[in-house]
Amino acid sequence: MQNNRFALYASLAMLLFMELAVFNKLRIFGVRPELLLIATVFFGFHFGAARGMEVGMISGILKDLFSMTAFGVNVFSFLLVGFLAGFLKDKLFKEDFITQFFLSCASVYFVSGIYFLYLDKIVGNNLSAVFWKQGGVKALYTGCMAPVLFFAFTKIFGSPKKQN
Amino acid sequence: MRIYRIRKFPAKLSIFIILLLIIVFNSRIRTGVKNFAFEILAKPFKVASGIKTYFTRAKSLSEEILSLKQRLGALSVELARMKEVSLENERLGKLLKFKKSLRYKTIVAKVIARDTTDWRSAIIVDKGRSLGIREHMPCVTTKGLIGSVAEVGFASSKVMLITDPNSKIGVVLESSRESGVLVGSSQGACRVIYLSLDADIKKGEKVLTAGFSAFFPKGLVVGEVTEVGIETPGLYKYAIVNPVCDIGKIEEVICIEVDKDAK
Repeated sequence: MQNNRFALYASLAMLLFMELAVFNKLRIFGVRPELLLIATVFFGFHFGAARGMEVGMISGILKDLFSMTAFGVNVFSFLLVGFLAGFLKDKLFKEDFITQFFLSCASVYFVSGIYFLYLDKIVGNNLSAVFWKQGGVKALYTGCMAPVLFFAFTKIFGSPKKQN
Repeated sequence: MRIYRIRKFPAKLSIFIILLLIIVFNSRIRTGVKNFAFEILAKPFKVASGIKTYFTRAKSLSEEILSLKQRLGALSVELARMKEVSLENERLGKLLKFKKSLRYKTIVAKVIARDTTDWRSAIIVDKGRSLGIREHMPCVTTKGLIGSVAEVGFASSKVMLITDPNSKIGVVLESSRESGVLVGSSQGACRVIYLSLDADIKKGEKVLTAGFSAFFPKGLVVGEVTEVGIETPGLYKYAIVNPVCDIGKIEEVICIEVDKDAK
């Protein structure tokens, strides 16, 4: 993993590019999958909280640079996701698609909840309905992308057992 | 035996000679026989030549197909580029015409990226403080208002679109002259809220900026009413508004410098 640091940062930059350019055209019900969040979950889940937080922080900074939300919101939420995913490292079966799917879905809702706190909630804006509807679609889309990215990351970075 | 042969020979020979004479002296038959013989003799050469040609042609054809495919690929890329240039030219022409029609100082900027989160609706443009972009400058396309500048960098800026949940603009409905607040809903549409209950609002009615704030000039088209309803507490009406242009397909924007004193 130490030797793959460059590959890790290059992958994160590539994922950001894919989110901004490629998946911007592949929106489903107006939403895109959170590829950087999947990366954060993967590294936390496979390599522990420290690595998850590192990847979360870098992903958060990258997202914050291209976002309207106050700087630091993405860093904070992604750091937390990386940290929480690290907790589950030895508790869940990593290769299971359903685990990867649900973990990614849950993290999308978690991050969306933090974004939601930063939105102006005017009466009549119906943001809570939008939150559940849009968040659901986003979680599903991200969840479906998660096994693919998990597979790719495992191929590139390996799993901790192979390292040991 | 010998006698028999000698006896038989002249008969065969004479038939042969007669036939030969007929062939030699009758030009039609001669030509026919010649052609027939030629055809038979030429057949193997034809076949051999055909095989050779087949392989040579196949090789040259495959090379030709390859080169044509390469040329086709290059031409299609060129065609796509030309189409893109032509469309851009058309768009910029319209933009220039629109820019001339505005009585404000304007700055044209290109969209270079979009917001990374789906909860916010924003675009990043390629002009910043160095070229005169300031915070809260209204941004329009040839069709109408699309948002305002929210953050300014040295060489790029973030434009908060009217569909952003944090966007709030004072608007007035064109024919009913009813005023309200336009808020975004992050789903590609906007809502005009705080419309009075007795307001007669029709579908298709245009929504214009009210000019109440110091940032947005009066009369910029924002969108069109597509649905009217009453909010759940029953205190006021709301109207769903479709923005003037497809927010997801904006490529160039015009940032307007509103002279507050003139306003």
